[in-house]
Amino acid sequence: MSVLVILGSCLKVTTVGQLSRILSNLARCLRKREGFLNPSFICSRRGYTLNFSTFLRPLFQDLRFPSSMDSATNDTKLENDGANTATVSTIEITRSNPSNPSNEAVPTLLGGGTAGRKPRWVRLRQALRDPFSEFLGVFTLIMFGDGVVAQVVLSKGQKGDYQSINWGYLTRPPQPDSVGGELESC
Amino acid sequence: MLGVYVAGISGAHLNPAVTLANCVFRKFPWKKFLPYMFAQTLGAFMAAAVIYANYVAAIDVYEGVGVRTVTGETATAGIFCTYPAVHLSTTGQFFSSSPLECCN
Repeated sequence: MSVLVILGSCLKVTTVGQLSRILSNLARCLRKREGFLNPSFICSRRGYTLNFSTFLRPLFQDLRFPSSMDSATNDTKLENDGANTATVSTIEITRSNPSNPSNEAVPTLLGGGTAGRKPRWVRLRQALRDPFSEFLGVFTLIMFGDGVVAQVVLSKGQKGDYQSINWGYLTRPPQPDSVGGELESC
Repeated sequence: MLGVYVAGISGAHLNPAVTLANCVFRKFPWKKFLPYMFAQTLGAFMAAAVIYANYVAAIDVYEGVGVRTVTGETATAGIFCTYPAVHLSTTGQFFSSSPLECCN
């Protein structure tokens, strides 16, 4: 089960149909005796070909995916780096071509010309980046703070005292009206 | 400090009140207010759930299985939220917390 969960999170499975498509592609790869880590292991979605490297894209989040090439110099520069394209092409979006996907990979780096629009997951990540950040921040703050309070309260003050709670929250100023609630049972 | 460090890229409001104040006074976009508030509240509740799950056995030992009290000798509600002290009146609560919130 955990393997399935890990696999699903790696493949960014969001719908059941997508999962079935991925599984069918997996079966096709098995029939053709291709490795799973082969770049030609594709799962087509909405006209894009998401090869294995798509799953590595979050690691390269700093590399932006320009929806429209704003400068031609950028384009030519990318084409001049043809030698690097082979290595960096692990992060590209290519057109879906079920017959021969790996050879027909369009050499536009970072999905500049072909995509025009970022994949849904990328857009979702960018839209929800700030709320996720706030979520994690509050999560960290409350988890450490409440953990210290729980330790102090449940040990009847043996393992920590009022100052431990201050250190646990570290950002929260002592609030005179709430001191009683936290320390009533200490 | 750790929360501010973690949430650095979003401004590290960590509090819906701070987000609201930023929206009102600092031209923070209003359309971000609801997502921020939702994310902050959800994060706080999830963290409290994690802490409760971690300490549920200890709480059971502390005040008995199935017993959860807000006030009294073995109150544990103060772990997850704060309550005014006994001696504090409503007016006292208002005057002690509103300046703090304004200063936030």
